[in-house]
Amino acid sequence: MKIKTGWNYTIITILFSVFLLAACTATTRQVDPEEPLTYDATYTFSDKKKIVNDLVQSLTTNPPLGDGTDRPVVIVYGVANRTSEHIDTSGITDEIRKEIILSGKARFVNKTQRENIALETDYQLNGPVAPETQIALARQVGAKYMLTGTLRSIEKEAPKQVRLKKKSYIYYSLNLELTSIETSLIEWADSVELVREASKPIIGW
Amino acid sequence: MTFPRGFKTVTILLMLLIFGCTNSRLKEARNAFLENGDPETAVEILEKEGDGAGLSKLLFHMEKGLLLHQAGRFDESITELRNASALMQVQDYLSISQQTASIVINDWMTEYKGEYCERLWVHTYLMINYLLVHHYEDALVEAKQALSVFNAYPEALTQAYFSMALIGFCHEVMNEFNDAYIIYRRLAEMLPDSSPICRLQQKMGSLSGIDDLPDCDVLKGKKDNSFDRWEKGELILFVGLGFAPVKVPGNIILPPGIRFSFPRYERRSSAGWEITIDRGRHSIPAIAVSTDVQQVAESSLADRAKRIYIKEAARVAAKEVIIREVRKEDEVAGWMTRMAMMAVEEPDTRSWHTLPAINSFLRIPLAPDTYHLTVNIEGRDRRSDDIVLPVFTVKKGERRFFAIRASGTYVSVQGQQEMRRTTE
Repeated sequence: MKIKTGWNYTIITILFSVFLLAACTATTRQVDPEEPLTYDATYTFSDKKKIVNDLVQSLTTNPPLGDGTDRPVVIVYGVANRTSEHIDTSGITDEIRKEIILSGKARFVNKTQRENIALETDYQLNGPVAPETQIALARQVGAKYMLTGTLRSIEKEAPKQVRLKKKSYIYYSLNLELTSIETSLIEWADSVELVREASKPIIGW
Repeated sequence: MTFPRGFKTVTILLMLLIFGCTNSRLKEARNAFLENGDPETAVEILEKEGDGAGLSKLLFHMEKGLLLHQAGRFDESITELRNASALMQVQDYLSISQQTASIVINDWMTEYKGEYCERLWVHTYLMINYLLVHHYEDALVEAKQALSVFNAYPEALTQAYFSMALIGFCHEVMNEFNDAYIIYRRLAEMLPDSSPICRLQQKMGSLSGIDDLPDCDVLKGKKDNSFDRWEKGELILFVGLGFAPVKVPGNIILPPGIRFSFPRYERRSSAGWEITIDRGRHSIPAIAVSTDVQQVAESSLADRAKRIYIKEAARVAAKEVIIREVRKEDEVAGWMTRMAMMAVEEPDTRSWHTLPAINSFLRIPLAPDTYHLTVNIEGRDRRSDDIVLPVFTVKKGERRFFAIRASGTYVSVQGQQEMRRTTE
């Protein structure tokens, strides 16, 4: 049976158009924050979760925070970013602070709000606020410990050679330490390491 | 009515020729800055483009980023240049479709990926912007990315002294003295005369606890506290002069109508400027490291020259095959096709036009005081310009930054933004 050539081309064109449209449809889906997602070797929110979980576990189960029930006061002085990516490390410290507060092992001084607190205090004491509702001065709590850290990375790329893919490795390490403000002794220190390998095609469409 | 195949070919090629031309908004914006010295108007023109510019998207981000920098809008400049940086990562592959089209038409059918030096300038201007907005940690991140570009293309960038000096400075600002020492040592090896940075190398080396340090003649037997931050402050100047070179087409025409075309750089501003810092009638000593953008640009292009010529030969051969196929059917159409092929044989002359011809990095140690300073720029033709800096005060250990651009009739001085009270 002869199939007309014209019909063949029409069927192929229709099928091709259907596949093309299907491939080009935009889709969205809800993603669980716990689900590890990586498109390349660089830092992602999955890394932040692992870092926070491991360090909070270590902080809350080892001295000095893991020891007693006195809930010492801590101030966060931030994690220095020494990688070659723009990483907002305040996200890491905010998450660590939240988890420790929820664990009940320590209390935190709100360093970022100091200016606003000073503004509000000034307003209360010099403004139209009823005296019986004004806060008392010089009642802020001093921190006993300081939380600081450094995020570092080492990157390695596969050497230039005949290949179809470009491989790279990135090693991250976050060192965190708790320092006594009174004695300047480092009372606790720990680190988390991550290594990721990524490969990218050299040729594409 | 049917058309001869040759006619269709010529029509398609002419359409592609029109399609392959430079974005007109980019041209308009460049002219607004280069001819009228108006970066704000240039930015407005580019903002009408949205996120467009097609295959020249990287160039669009680069130009807009630098124009925003010239307009003193450093945060927006950072955003734009970071878009450029991200695009450079995304473009890091060979597109089969674009390469195929470029073999038949010309290299304007491919995405512009920037010369090696232009990729370095993206990170260089990001370093400058971050320093001007007090984000020293982010400046260090850009310094590391700039260093990766140096390591990827060492031969092409051997004369990019300004960027290397800035990388060392970013490490120094973050008290990474050992890294700063290593960078300054590398810079000393690059420079024809390393004496300008000998003191810096010595200082960083001694702060890192290194014993085997260079012997700077100027320091023999004397204690030099020029860069002792606990004694003095410092003035940092980023000076851009003139206009960077632009790519122009070079052509070789062979019978019977074969055109070989290639890009080359053409200088727009002369080199050999001298910069001095004056306080009243006295000159203040400064450490200066400069890059001749023309030389680095030529070096970058030369590094790619072999690949450009091989591709050009392949393109000419492919076009000859097409022309002969068309001629077999119709002699006239064959000649029309040859004319069209010659017309579209345009080299890729896309380049970053708003860059300066010379970039200079000056470090001036200053005793704590209030200063009224003038920057004197003298060209080879003995013409000199005096640029008056805003009055500023320097305290012990403090650094003050200014970015100066003097190109044609356009002169601007941008100071470091007031430190915003940060929440961290």
